[in-house]
Amino acid sequence: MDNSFHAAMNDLVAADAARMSGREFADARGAGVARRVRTRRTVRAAGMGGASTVAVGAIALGASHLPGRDATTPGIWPGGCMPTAVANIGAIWTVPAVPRAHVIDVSEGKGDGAWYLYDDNLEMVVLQLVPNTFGIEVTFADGTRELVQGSEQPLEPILFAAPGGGFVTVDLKDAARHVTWTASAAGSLSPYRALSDVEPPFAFQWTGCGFGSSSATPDPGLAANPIPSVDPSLAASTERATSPFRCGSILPTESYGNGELWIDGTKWMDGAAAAAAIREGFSDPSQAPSIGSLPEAVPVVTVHFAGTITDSGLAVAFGSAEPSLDRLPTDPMDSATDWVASEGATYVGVVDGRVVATGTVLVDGSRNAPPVYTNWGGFPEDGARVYLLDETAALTSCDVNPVDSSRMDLFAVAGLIVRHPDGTVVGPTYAWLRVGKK
Amino acid sequence: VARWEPILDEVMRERGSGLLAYARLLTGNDADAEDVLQDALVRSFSRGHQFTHVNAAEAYVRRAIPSVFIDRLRHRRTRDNAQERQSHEQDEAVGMGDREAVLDVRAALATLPARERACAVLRFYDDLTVPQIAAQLGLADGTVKRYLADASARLASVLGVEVGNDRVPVVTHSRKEGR
Repeated sequence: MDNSFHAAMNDLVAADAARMSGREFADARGAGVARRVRTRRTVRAAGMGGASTVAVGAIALGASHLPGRDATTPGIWPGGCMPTAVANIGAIWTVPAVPRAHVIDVSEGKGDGAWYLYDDNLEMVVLQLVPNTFGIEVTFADGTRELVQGSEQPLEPILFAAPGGGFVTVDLKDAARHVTWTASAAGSLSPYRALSDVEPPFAFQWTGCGFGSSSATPDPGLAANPIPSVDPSLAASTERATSPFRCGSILPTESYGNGELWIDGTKWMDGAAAAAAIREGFSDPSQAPSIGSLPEAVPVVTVHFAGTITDSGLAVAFGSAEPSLDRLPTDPMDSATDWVASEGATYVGVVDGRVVATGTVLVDGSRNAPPVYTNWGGFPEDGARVYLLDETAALTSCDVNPVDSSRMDLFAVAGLIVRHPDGTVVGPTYAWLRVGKK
Repeated sequence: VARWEPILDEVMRERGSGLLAYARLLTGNDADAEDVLQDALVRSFSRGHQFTHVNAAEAYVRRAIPSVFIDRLRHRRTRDNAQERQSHEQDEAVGMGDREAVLDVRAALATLPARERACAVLRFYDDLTVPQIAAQLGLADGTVKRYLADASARLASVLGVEVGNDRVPVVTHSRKEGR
C-alpha cells in the first residue's frame, strides 16, 4: 500500500481527534447510549436477541402473586385461553405442558391504575406501568423510569424485558385505556391479550391462545365464555389484531397484501439448488449459515417490503420474528438511527384457515438463521427470498399435541412496522400467501 | 451500576475523540460521525461482551464503526447524493485550518462515494486485506476490489500521486449483496 497516503490519513485522524471532544460526546449522548444498551442487554437476557438459558414454563396472568394481594385468588386455569371473567378477577393462567421453571405474572392493578409484571423467580416486580396525563410512566427493575407514550402521539408496540427472563410487548392504544400485552419468554410462549377501551369490568379479546389443552376442563364457574375466535372480518381489516405470526389467527384468504408489503414468487426448489442459492449470497463461504442436508423440495417465497423505505435514513430490524416485538423509538431522546422499522418474514402452519403452528424462535436468539433463512440481498428491488429449510424444525405447534401435517397448509407470512421521521407509525402491516401442503 | 457502564463511559470520554475522528474518515462530516459512533457503541456494548479494560472495548467499537457505517448506507434510499454533497461542503469548511496534506487527503476522500471511501479507509488506513474488508463490511470480495480500484484511481487523480501500489483487478459482480 502507499505509505505516504497512510501517513497522511494518520495525520488527518490526529487532526480531527485533537479537534473533537470525547467528553462533549459523552455529555451529549452518553445517557442515550447507556439507555439503549441497557434496554438491549435486558432484551437479550430475556432470550430475544441472544443466548438465554432461562426456560419459562408458565405464564400466569393475574394479581395473586403480587405483594399484598390475595394469593388464594381462584383458579388454576389449565386451558389454553383465559375467559373474560377469569381475567377480570385476576386468576392464574398456567401452561401445564411446559416445564414450570419460571413464572411471570402480569397483573392489572385496579386500585392505583398501575400494571405490573411480577417475576416469581426473582420475587420482585420487574416492570411497572402507571398511566398518567402524558402517557404511561414505565418503571424498570433497576428503578429507572421512562415516559413511553404521549397521549396524543401515534402508538406503537413497545417491548419490555424481565431481567430474569421473559418479555412483554405493550401495545398502548389510546394511552392508558387500551393495552395489549404479549407476554412471552425464551421464545416459547405467546399468549396475547387485548384490553378493550371500556370501563371495568374489562373485556378481554384473545387472538391467540398459544398453549394448553383445549380438552382441559376449567372451573365451570369461571368458564362462562367459550374460547373466543377472531372475527374473520376483523382479520381482514384490522391487521394489528390479527397478526398471522401468532397462534389462532384466522387467515380468511389464501393471500393478502398491499402496496407496502406483499408476497409472491412461490416456488419449490430442489434442496441442493436452494443450498447453493443461499451460499451464493456469501463471498466468504465461512460466513454462510450452516444449512445441513435439505429435503427434496424447499419452499421459497419473495417478500416485498416496499413500505419500509422512506426518504430518510432508516435502520431496520429484520428477521423471522413478529415485527411488532421490536421496540421502536418512542420519544425524541431516542436516536433517529435506532431501529425505526422492523420487518419479519417466516412460515406458519394453517388448518381450516386458522394458524395452528408458528415459526420457531431460535433459542440462541438468532434473527435470521435456519430452519428459516431469508436472503435479504434483493432489497429493495427484488424483494427478500425466504427459504423454509426444515419444516419440522421451523414450525412449533400451537397446541401440546403435534399438528397433523397432512391437514396443514403452509403459509408464508410477513409483517412490517415503520416509524417515519415525522413520528407517524405505520403498521404493523401484514401479508400472507398460501404456499401449499408439504 | 452494571459492570459495563463505567467502561462505556470511559470509552466515550477518554477514547471518544479518536473514535470520532476515525468515524469521520468514513462519514466525511462531524454529525454523521457522532451518529455512527453512537450506534457502534450501542452495538458493541449490547452484545453481552464482558469488557474488562477500556482498550478491548475501544478496539471492539472501532471495528464496529465501519460495519455500522455500511449498515446505515444500506437503509438509505437517497444513497449518497445529498449526503455526499453536504459532507463535501463541510469538509472544505472544517479543513481550512489543517495542514495542506491533511486538507488534500480530506478533500480527496470526500470525492469518493461512501462505500468506496469505507473500503479505502479499511485498506489504506487500517491495512486490512481485501477478504478482511469484505468480511467486515459484508460485501463480496469482487465488490471490494472494484471499490478499491475505483477509489485508488480517483484518489490518484485528485492527489496527483499513485495511491495503493497493490492495485487490484476489477471483478464484475452482478449479485446483490446481503443486507
